[in-house]
Amino acid sequence: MADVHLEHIDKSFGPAQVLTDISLDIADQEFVVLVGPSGCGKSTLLRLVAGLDSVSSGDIRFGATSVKDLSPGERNVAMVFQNYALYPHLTVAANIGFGLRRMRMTRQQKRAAVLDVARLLEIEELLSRRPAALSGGQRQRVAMGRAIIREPAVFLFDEPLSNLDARLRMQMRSEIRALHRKRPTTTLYVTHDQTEAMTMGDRVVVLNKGRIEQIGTPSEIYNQPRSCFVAGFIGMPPMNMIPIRRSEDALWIGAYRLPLSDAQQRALAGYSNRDLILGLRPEHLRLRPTSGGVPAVVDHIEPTGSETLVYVHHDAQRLCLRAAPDVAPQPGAQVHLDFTLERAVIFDPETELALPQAAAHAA
Amino acid sequence: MTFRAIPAAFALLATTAPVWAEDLITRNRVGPADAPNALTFRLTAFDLYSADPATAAHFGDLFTDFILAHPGWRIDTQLQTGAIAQEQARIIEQTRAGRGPDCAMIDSSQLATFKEAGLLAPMTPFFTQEQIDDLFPFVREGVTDANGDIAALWWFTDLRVLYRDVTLVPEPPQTWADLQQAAEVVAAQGLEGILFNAGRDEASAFDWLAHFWAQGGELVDDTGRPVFFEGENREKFLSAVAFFADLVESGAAPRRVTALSSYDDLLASAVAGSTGMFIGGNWMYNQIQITMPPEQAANWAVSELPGPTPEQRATGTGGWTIAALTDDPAKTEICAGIAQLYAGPGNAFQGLLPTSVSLFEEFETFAGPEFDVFVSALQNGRARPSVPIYPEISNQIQILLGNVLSGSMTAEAALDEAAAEVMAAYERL
Amino acid sequence: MRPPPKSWPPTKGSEPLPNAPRIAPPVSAARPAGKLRGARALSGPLPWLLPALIMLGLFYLYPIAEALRLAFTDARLFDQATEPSLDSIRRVSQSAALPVILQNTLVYTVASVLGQLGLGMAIAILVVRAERARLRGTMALRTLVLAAWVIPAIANGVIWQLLFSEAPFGAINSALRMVGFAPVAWLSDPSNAMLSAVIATIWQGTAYSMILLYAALKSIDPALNEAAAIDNATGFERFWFITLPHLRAALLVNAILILIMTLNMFDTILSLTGGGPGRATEVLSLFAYNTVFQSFELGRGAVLSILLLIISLTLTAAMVVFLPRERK
Repeated sequence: MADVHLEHIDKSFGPAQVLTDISLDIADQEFVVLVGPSGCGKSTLLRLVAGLDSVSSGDIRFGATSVKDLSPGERNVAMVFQNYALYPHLTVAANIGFGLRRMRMTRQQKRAAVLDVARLLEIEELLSRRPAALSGGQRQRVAMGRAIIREPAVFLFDEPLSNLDARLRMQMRSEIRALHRKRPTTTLYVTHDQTEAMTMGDRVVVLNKGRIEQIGTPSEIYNQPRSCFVAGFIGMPPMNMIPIRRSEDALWIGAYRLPLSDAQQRALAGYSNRDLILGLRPEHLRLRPTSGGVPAVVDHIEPTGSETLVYVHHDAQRLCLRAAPDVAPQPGAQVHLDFTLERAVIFDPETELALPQAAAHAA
Repeated sequence: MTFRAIPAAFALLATTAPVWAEDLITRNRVGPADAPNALTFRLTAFDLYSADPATAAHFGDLFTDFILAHPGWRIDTQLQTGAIAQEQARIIEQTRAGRGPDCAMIDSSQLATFKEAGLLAPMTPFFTQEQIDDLFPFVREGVTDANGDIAALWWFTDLRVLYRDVTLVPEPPQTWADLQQAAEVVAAQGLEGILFNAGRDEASAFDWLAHFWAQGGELVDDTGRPVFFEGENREKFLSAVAFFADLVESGAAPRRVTALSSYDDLLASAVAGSTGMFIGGNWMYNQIQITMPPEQAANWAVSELPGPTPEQRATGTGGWTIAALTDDPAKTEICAGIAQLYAGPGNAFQGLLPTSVSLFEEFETFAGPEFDVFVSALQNGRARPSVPIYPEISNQIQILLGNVLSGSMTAEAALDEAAAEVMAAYERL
Repeated sequence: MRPPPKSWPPTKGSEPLPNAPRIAPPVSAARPAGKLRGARALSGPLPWLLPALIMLGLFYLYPIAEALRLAFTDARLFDQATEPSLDSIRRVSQSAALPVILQNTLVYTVASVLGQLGLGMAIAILVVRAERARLRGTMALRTLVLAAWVIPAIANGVIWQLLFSEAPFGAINSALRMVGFAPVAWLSDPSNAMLSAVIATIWQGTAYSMILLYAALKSIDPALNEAAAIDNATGFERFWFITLPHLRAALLVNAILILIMTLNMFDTILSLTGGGPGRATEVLSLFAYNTVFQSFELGRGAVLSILLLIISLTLTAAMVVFLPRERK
């Protein structure tokens, strides 16, 4: 049981700077997901917390104790690896019990502990098998069993579901969450899959090029992306990013005017007559039943069953919007779009950061 | 391959400098390539193909003259490596299979095996009776086959002598006791008193045999049966072993002699100035002059091997022969001609010891004082017995010396074991 | 592909499958069937194995058979025409030298094999670790170790003879003297001579076992070691529980190969000590060599070679039993 604090961590391998000034506080029993594209440094950060690599500068604290100079074993962390890293010559029971070797327990106590964990993960009948005889999902559970049996201070997951098929992944997502509820432990979970990030984390940390882009709850990350990167990375399909120009009381997409409410005008005070970027989720663009609004031409549609994604373009600007499943405009058809500006996020094209406009959402 | 061949070709050009000789001597041929008659000759790499350009050039000239004097002939040359026992065995194998050379250099210690195998063509018609009579007695005996024919020409010989640093050992030791005493004096100065080969090598057995022979010991009887372990020979054998063992026990010789199996090791110690004496071959005299600075070389003198008494002396004599392995008399004649080329002018150039007294007188090379010592010692020369059991006897002596000098076995026990092994091998013959 | 129906050929009246071959009339039936059988024989494993079998037979089995034949004669190198006899076998078995030779072979082989395995593993681990730590010079180290391997065994013996030389200027002894130790009788003392032969052999053979073990080590998933580190395993525990089990197959194969190479190794000893002093370093292979090429005793040499073959085969078979099986 521990709260984890990362303080101004830098990490470089030779001349390559991998992580820059990472600071993050994780509360005891919190489930935090690190997400980012490959190469963003998320796995490295996890290995630093595990103690498999050492920080170039900065500090890592578990509670009040600095662990930066401790070995992985001394940190009392447990880790689930992407390829599970099960000991292939040991049985499932021995794999799970491996971490108990040096604990002061009788052989019976150890056996009971293994059985306990196996029951929790529903792998009792596999205990005498070897990893080679297990399916992917079963290996995944054994790897988790090996981790939780030691009741670690911090639980680390390194893309644990990426080797599983889509269905199993969905199932394991909820099982890991359920496990966390049953055995609440501070957890750091690395993934490149935004669905895992959004569905599993109490909080999500978005990393890009070795820096933290944003820390927040899944909903904050989704609805109030702090930067163009987060807006583009989180959400499937991603947020529409539309270059606009602001006049006093409206936004202009080319020749088309989108009027601003008073509250929005206040929020965007100081950005008059400037080029901005309008970020709008696909669900906040609507097809207008009648003419008016911004005209666009349908490129193609993707019916997913529960909804239909409609891809259109207005001049050179490509846009995507969510429509009801029964809406099926023909490609090439002329449509008209409504913008739900209340849900929009406005970005500064120079800094690529969102403008402060919390008020807009409050509306 | 080409880029390697080019320097080799240049080296070849350099060694065969005269323009007309370029075609006559190559890496595998002497004489015109299109000559109607060819003789294959297997030789060692110390003369015609010596790494020393001067030696190679001189023999090139000798061979060129020879081949010009024998028009219509070509000598196809084949090199043998330094692994003597294997090379000689190979010659026998190949000759039996009809693929052997017509003419070959054969180590004198292996000659008996070749004679026994009946592979050598008689060369008697190509020598005068005078030439034959002029050979040293041990040489004549060695090259004569069962029919009384000359089976090979023993073209040079060698012998074992005692080398000493006169600054450490001023007077040549005449007896075993003298030698041990002199060596102990040197050893007392922190140097090695005397070195000799006693490792697993033919040289060890051969160098030691001189001490056995000096007492009149015989390895085999007239029928070729090993007798060195019986009767008087046994005593002589044991006392010669005891001589070496005492040298080691007293510290006159270091224990490491059991790890010495090469004359080069002895020479190295002499050059390093770490030994007072060593038992070596006569050819090492020349090596000393070449290897050491002149003022150091001047300190090294040579003398006859000491005996149990000043009168009882012997030295092992070896050397190489050239023999014909063909049925064709014409080829045999060419082979005999090559042999004489080596025996006379060849030896004179290389400083190797000829096998007949007249040759010592004929060439100026042999005028130095060391040759007086060599010729005088050669009177006590003993060749290894021309019997096929000799290699096994030698093998067992090497093992015996190692076992006794390293303290693993008593001389008596070692001799009994050697005798048993030798007799078991002899029964098979 | 759909399997053919149970009743084949199709029963009368049922429509043949579009691509099914028509049943040939009985007259011409024999020939296609014969052709088919020939084709089947050609497509079996035999034609593919034949070249290898011929080569093996020619270059391995024939010499072994010939050695076996010679072992039952009293042939000498220059006198091979002999009657069958048990003379050679009797003489080898009664030889006073044989027990010494076999004991030498045992000591030399066990010490050399263990040394080559141990040192090879140590260097392999060192190289792999250094590579993981991204240290410079691992390539150079690997190349250096390999350099020892490409030196011919004879030259290796000569090099070590120079190093072990007990002359006052001998390399190792000079170094010992410089740091205040007494010189060692590396080659002239019988028991040291064996140690020296073992050292020379290990030095040369280590590279081979290093390469095999290096490859095996590289194939171990680094995550396993990391997982063990997180499970609070010490360096030794990681080696014992992770590395060693993974190396088991490589170690055994390596041990078998090194064992055979070491049993057959005579050239290093030949040039280092010649088997001396006395018979202190004369192992079976060198004994066989000396018997044939020094004493010209072909029959006895053949018996010794067969003995060597039997020892190699027995030990190899014993070790193969321990090879890990493929597990499902």
